[in-house]
Amino acid sequence: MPTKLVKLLKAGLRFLGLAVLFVVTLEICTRIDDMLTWEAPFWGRYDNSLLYVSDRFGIHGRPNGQFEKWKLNQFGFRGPEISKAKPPGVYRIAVMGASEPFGQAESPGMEFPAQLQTILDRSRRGRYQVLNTAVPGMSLPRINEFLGDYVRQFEPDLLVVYPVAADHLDFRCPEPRKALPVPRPKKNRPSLRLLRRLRVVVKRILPTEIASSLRAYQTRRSLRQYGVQEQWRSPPPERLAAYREHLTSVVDQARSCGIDVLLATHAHRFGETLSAADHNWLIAWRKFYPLAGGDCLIQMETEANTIIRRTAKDRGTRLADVADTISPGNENFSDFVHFTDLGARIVAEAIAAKVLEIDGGSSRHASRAGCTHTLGQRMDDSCITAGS
Amino acid sequence: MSFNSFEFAVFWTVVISIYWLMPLRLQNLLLLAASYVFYAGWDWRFLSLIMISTCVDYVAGLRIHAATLAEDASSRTRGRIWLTASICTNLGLLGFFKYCNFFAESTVELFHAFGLEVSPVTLNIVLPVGISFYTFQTMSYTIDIYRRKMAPTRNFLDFALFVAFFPQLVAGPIERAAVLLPQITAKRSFSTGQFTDGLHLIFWGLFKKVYVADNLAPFVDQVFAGNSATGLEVLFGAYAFALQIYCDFSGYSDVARGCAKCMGLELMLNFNHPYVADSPSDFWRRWHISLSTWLRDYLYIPLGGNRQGAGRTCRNLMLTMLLGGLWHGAEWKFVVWGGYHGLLLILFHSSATRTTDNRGQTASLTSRVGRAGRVFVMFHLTCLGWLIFRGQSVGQVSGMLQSLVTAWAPSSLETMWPLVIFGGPLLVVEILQLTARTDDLHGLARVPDWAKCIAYSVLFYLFAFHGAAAQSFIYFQF
Repeated sequence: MPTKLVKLLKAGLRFLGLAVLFVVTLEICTRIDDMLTWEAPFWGRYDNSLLYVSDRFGIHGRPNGQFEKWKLNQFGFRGPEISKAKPPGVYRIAVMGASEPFGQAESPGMEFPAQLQTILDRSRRGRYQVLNTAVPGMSLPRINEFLGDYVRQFEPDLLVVYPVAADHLDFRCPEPRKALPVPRPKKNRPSLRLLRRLRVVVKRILPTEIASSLRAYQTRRSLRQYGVQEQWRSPPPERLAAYREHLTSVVDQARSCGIDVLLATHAHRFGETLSAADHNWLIAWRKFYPLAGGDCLIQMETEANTIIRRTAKDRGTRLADVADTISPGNENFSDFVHFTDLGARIVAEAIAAKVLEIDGGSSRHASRAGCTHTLGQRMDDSCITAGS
Repeated sequence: MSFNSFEFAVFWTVVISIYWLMPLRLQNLLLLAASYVFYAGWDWRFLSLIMISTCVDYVAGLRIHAATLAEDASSRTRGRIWLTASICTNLGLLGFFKYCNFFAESTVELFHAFGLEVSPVTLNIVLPVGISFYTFQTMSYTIDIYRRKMAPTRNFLDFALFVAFFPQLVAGPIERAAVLLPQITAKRSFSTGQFTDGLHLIFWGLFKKVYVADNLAPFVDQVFAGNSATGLEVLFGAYAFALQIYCDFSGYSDVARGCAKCMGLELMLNFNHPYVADSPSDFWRRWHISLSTWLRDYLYIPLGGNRQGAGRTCRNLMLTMLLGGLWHGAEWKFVVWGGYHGLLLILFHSSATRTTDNRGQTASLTSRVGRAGRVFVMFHLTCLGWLIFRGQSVGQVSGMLQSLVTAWAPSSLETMWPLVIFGGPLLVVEILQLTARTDDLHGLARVPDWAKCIAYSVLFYLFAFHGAAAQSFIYFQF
């Protein structure tokens, strides 16, 4: 072989070797960093799938699941350990919803259910216990199911529902778990944790305009994949009707189990007029719901909140009008719907005020006789009738 | 656009990609256009100021040179007139945009001190980025021509590039025409080694800025935000600011040098491990070398330097440092800081008899322990100066100094963790560089490639995943 070619090959191999060493070192650094920062295992998979489990109760929080700042207790709820049985004299509040109550951008312990606990403790220590039973992506039908299958066992006195509306603009309207095909379990293939870190860094440094263009492209691609020619300009009536029906079902189920209900309207960052930054956030939000063109998402939020207020009035439940209480913008929102620490505090304060009103008025637990279940009979306990 | 921004990464990649495909004339034209685009990214309105400075000094340089060639008195007078025009134009631009409001407000305060009521007249003047740097750079050109140290360039584009060369335009190093202009006019050939060295410098500069300086910034802000810091917190705050300003400024200089190196141009070393200085004069031979040498050559020496007796030397030192302090910003605290360093230089100069070694440095009269001791003392004297530089007010600085003496007890030892976490890697690399006498890890000849690869990988990890959110460079405000 010619000497020059041999030299070139050697140089190429040397470069390749150093490149591999570079990447391997980065991956080791990532794993050590995860170990030191989050007590993550050095070996094995480490991603947000560690927070979820799919079992007879559907997809919900994994018992003792932990990933980065998110730590779940033995029941798969975010927050401290609790006993399954409600301690005597305690007013138990179960918060149900999706990623907003679960917590995304807030500092650890600053998601609104945790702040609600802190506020209520200041008012009357030991009286209240807040369970954050929210699961990212949980729709109203799933809330209904999960309430009946799982949350009910913890005998909450009050159910705080912070329902997502935008998911009713998805390609498929939300349905209970039973109606959906069973997902295939993911293969446990080794993966580079470094890639996840790189994605975060790239998202951070990419100029907003470029990121928005990419998102708009991804939205158009999704529409093409589903063969959709035209986006919705306003929420379709059948989706709004479905939302109303799903919300009412949740209230009815909770009531039939003797659980008080506090409905909360859903807040978002967009005010009357949209800034340039707001337009970029709207593009980002639309990526998740490609069918919703123009202002459809914001209209859906408005309509959904009207439905929540009407349902609360019709069904005689309490209402925490979070959407009206919290101001739009960067101070309270880290993205289109998720809160900053400050935003979460405002939500917690609004809900706490209502909780104190409710608890001040009620003095005993309601009877749970005759509770019904919407789907499935996945209960560990039979219906409980509590004495008054 | 700042060096630590996505926009600059794209800008530089495009420029360097095209640059090496072009012949010399087009390379210089490309660099000039890129430099103007770079500066316009900050504020396109102030391009006119750079162009004014360029045009005036280009013409002045030619006229001064013509005048110096002729031996008669009227020609010498003409030469002085053109030199004065150049200096007045540059100092006029600098004085108006940087010091106008400062002098107006100070005058009003002076009148108030004498009980005279005067209404202040201040203008809403925006400080053009880099004006303190390029005005000094162009003045050095005309002054060197007047001193017959160099001939002027007849190529306007080359001169315009010398003034506006983007890597060093907004925060130095302040280059000498005699060093940079010949490189601009000479043909440049691509060298893999030089290009690689440039990339290493860029990486190291960005590491210092993004990982060390920007991460220490919140801790420093916290210490200097109020008046309640304990003595230990003040001390750590001073250490942290010392590291922050060093890494911020030297990081910028390294990126500037690295970018230039990748283009076949060598900019001067601006920082030479200043915190291992063992005396005030040694410090100023290591810190912001381009400014300190400029002040030495164009202010201190023309004033007489140290050739006119001890008294005049002290006066010259103090005047140079006061003006050097004022250069940093239109606030009295910078003047006080400059005066503080002037005092240190005077005290050092007036101290006991020294011998000098061949390098012109003060030789250690005792052992390495003695030098370590002097380095320790000088570092803390420098940190004391940084308290003045960074402090918000006289009251705050005096409160901090009081805390150092009377309220030492720390609220928590956690205050030192930012220093350890962010300063630690810097310290390790700086020690390696000092012992190997090189600018960056790349120059550590005896270390095998695989070990360097691992070291760079770890530094890259810290920089990419633990670098703070982009903050502007401290020296941009000067």
